[in-house]
Amino acid sequence: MRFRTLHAHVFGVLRGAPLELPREAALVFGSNESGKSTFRSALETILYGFDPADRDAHPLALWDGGARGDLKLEAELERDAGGTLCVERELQARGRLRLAEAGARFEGTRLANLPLDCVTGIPREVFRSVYSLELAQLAALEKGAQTHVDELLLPQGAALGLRPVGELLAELRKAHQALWRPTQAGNPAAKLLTLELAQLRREAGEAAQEERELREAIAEQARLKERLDRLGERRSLLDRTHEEAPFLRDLFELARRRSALGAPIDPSPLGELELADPAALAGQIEELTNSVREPDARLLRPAETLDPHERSLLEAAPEIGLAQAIAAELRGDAKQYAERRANVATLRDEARGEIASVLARAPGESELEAVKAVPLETLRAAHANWVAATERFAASAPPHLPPRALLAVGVCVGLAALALLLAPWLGELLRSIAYGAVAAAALVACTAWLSHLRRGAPLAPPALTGWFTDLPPSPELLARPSEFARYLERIAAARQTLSRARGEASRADVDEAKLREGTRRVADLCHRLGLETDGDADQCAARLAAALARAQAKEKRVEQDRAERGIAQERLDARRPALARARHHLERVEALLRAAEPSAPTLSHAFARVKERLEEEEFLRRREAELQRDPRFAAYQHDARVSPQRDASSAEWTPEATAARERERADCARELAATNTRLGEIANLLRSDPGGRQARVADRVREGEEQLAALRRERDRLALLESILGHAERRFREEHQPPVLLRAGEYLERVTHGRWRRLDFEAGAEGGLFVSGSGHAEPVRVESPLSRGALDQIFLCLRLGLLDHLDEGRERLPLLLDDALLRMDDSRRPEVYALLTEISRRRQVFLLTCHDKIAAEIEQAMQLSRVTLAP
Amino acid sequence: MSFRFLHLADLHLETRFGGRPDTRERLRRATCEAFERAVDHALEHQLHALLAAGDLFDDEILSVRTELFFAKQLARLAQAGVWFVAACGNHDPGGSGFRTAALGALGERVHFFRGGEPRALQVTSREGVPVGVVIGAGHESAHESSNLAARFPPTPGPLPVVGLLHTSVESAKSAAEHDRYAPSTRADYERLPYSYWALGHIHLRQQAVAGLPVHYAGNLQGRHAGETGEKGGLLVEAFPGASAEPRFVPFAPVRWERAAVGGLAAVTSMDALAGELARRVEALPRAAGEQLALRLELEGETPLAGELRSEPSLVSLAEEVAMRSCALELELRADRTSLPFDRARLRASPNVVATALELIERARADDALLAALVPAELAHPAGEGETRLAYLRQLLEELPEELLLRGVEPGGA
Repeated sequence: MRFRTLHAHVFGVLRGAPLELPREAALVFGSNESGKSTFRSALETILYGFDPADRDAHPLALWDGGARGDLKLEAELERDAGGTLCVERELQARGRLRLAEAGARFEGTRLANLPLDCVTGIPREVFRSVYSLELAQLAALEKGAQTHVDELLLPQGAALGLRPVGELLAELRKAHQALWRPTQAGNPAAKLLTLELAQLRREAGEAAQEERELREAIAEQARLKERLDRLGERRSLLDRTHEEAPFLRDLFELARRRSALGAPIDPSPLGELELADPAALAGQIEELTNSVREPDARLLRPAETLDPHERSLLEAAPEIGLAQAIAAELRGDAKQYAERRANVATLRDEARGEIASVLARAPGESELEAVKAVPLETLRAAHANWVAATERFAASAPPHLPPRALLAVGVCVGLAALALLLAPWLGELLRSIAYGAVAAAALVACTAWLSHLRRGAPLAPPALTGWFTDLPPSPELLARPSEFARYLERIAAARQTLSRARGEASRADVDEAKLREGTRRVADLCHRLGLETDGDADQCAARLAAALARAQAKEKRVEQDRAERGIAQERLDARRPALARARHHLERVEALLRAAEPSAPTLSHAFARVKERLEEEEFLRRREAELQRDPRFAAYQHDARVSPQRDASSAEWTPEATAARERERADCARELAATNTRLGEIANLLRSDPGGRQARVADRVREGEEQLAALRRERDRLALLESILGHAERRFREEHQPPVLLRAGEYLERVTHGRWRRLDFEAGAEGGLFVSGSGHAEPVRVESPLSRGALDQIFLCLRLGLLDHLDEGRERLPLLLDDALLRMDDSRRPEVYALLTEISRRRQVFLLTCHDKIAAEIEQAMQLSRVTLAP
Repeated sequence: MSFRFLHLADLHLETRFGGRPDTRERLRRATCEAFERAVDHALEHQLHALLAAGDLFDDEILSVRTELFFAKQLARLAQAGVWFVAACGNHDPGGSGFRTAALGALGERVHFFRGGEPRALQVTSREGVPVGVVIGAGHESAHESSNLAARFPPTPGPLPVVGLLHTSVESAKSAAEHDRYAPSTRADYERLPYSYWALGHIHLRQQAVAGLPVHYAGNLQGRHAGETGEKGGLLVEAFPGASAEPRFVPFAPVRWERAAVGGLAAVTSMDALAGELARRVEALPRAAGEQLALRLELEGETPLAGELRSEPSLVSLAEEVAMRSCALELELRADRTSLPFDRARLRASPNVVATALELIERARADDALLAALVPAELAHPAGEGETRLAYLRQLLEELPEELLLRGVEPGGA
């Protein structure tokens, strides 16, 4: 396969007219950035298609200033077998391919971005590593990647999609070593799993132990349940005993006391009587006896009685009372009588005084009597006439004194006053004269006054004066009406007084008669009762009263005596039956006591004993009644434990037994609690299901063992595969490497003038590429310290050998060397040029350089003309 | 009067199960549930007896809790006057020192045939009327190798006779999968005209001897994906002088099933694969209230083979399918899946993988080559000689696919 033309329409810096390429070898010269690498890429693209086949990702698509235009290449290829093939590759959105025979136009549907048929079996990577080299790739080889070289030596069919054997071997080795290693170094999975299994087995052992413990716990549970039953029964018994002990004690005590009490007392001697203390009964009898003694004595004394005189006095008591009333009345009447007599005298005296005042002398008895005859009414009428006449006179006279009288009075007064003023300086005589003058003046004045008053008044009418016979008034009384009026009043008053005196005297007479009658009656009574009648009614009445009082006192004593005797009789009547009953009661009690307690020294002792016994019987009866109310009574009353014959010191209710039982109950409760606690623990333990855990752990152990077995098997499988693959690799090398290495050795011997003549590849960890030649007895590993130029020659020869091997029997692809010879010394480069000239006869060779000197050297050595790339 | 009883076998109470931890826990409970259902059935139908043909439990596993549960169930039977008659098996041998001997007295109507010498037990009705005779023998040890069936006596009387034994009948299906304890043959049963033989040991329910009333009830609850289908007991009504025909009664609450799933080449995503598998699971038969535990063995070419070889991916897929199909447990195996790969093309081109595949092919037949290829030390204690070679050959079987899965880039070849 040889490139005859290359037309880069648009491909990075390459664009424009097509390049005509020599058939065998071509020298492509271009300075930096002139497109040498793009040229190599264009040839590769023609053969393999765009890489990447995506315009957006292709680096050269951006060359056009970011326009991302389509890339397009055309080439004309000459087949080794003859014929020319035209190839058009265009990168639009995707890479496209069109093929045409020589001279024909590209027509028809564009194909995908596929490699040409002639490169089948030689992957693009192989082409890049073997066919299209630059100095840097040689340097990369120099870095000792025997693996890389090895892979280059084993182009086992990348077209088949096979992975590099070295990589595969390394992967297998890594995989099976991660699973298991003979030395167990590095913690392979098998080791970790083994450790895990050991742990699981320990867990299984623990679970088995727990299971055993569980089984023991079940047995213990059965034992504990039995024990629990026993304890429960014992506890119930203790509780029951605890509950019934007081009741048993009460029953026992009842039976014991009843037994101790003996036979019951026969109450028949008492009949309906109650048992009483005989001493008390004797006391009672004595008391009753004493209580009848005094009434007896009282009845034996004689009774008080009234004599006939006393009885007559008492019978006359009303009369005596009357007499006393009469006497009392008489005392009042007498007093009244005396008073009345005194009043008569007084009234007569008064009348006598009245008359005396008008008579101006003491009147005699006849004058007193005469008063009654004075015609007062007539006199009063005459007086009225007189008064009227007087008043008429007074109304006609002046009312004041005459001036002379007044002058006389004044002179007297003045003289009197002067005398009084001069009295200190006057002698006794003069003073007396003065005084006399004064008195005279006063007298004159009064006389004047009186004269004035008496002047011209009328006199008493003759009727008046004519009438008086027995009692004539004094003249003064007849001087003026007023005086006569006084006379009339006094006569009238005396007349009334005398009238009253007469009435009073009349009443005194009546009183006197009554006094005499009363006195007589009282005296008669005294006489009839045999009492003295001397004295007045009062004295007689007093004697009567005294006698009656004495009789009445006597009567009271008689009545008191009768009452006392009645009371005494009542007392006797009342106490004598009680005394008899008491004596009978005492006899019965004594009979019962003697029968019940014949051995008692005294009745009191017997009574005390009997009383105690009766009280005990009563108590026991009540106690039994109380106990019978308990429903347990029927069941327990005949229980042997309550028999009175039982030894009570060992009974259930003794404090010792109770304390012991309490202790036992507490112990029982503790044991029950402990047993229940343990049963609870066992119940929890039973829920733990160690058997299930054991089974799960056993499953995990089994699973782990299966995993371990699988893991070991997998390791063996991978190790066996690695071993087989290694054997296959070695065999493949034996079959396919020798021609490559022989051919490469031949090339190497030629370019080194025999200094190095043989290449060998040793497999294995210590293996690699070795070179041997005339200057070295032992093969030398292809790595430093071999010179850089020597290494370049070795790797170039290796590639040339590979080319021959890879292309054998198929289209030979061109060889591209981009300044790959640069580090070779001048003496060896001509040999390389000669070799390349020879090779170019079989395969098209492109030598690319940017060095003018090298280009010139190649031109000269290989007789080539340059194909210059424009910058 | 007929003798009506329930024939159970291989209860393996609380034995170890397969599956995820929660599944194992469920199965542990399921065994007890199944036994409880059997007891319920016996009580409900007023059976005369419940016969258990060995392996009630695994001697070294029975926990206290399960023992208490077992005793409780026997008490229920005894209370209703139902006999419980068991013959000891290799997992619950009756010799001294074993757990069965330590169970103690479990009731008047509970009887264990512990010794190897056959004994007869007359079974009575609740009213005390004899209804049948059970002749049984048990394993005294965990490795009973003698033929116990050969010791069984002839029919003792007019009552229906039932033989009760834990034995490995040679002609039985899947007998090879079980240890050969107390082995017996057809001849042992032909000579005895029993009404019925209640056998245990082989977990597959079957008529152990064609033409004779010799039956395995199978185990009560499937324990792993190898014990598939309905599990329960056999309801038997035996008449004197006649062979009884049992009727299966399911008791197991969890049912194991196993299915191969192929034709997955068109399924290109794990989600689609989960949907496809869920559909296939849902299509499997399932009784009402029955939980399903499954093992699906994926096979054939699938572009998901690489992912299916990843254990986390496989587990995740199984959980997804179990959730979608409401399965208790779903185990996926993808050992037999492969990538859709042009192996011929691979082998035609010179490459190390092809060379390795050729080596593997040759090593299968060439022990010397295989021995040369084996790494210096093996992790697995493979033993020596033929055992080791067998182990290595087994490893070889999986290597080609492993090599391709690892050596080929996705989309390669």
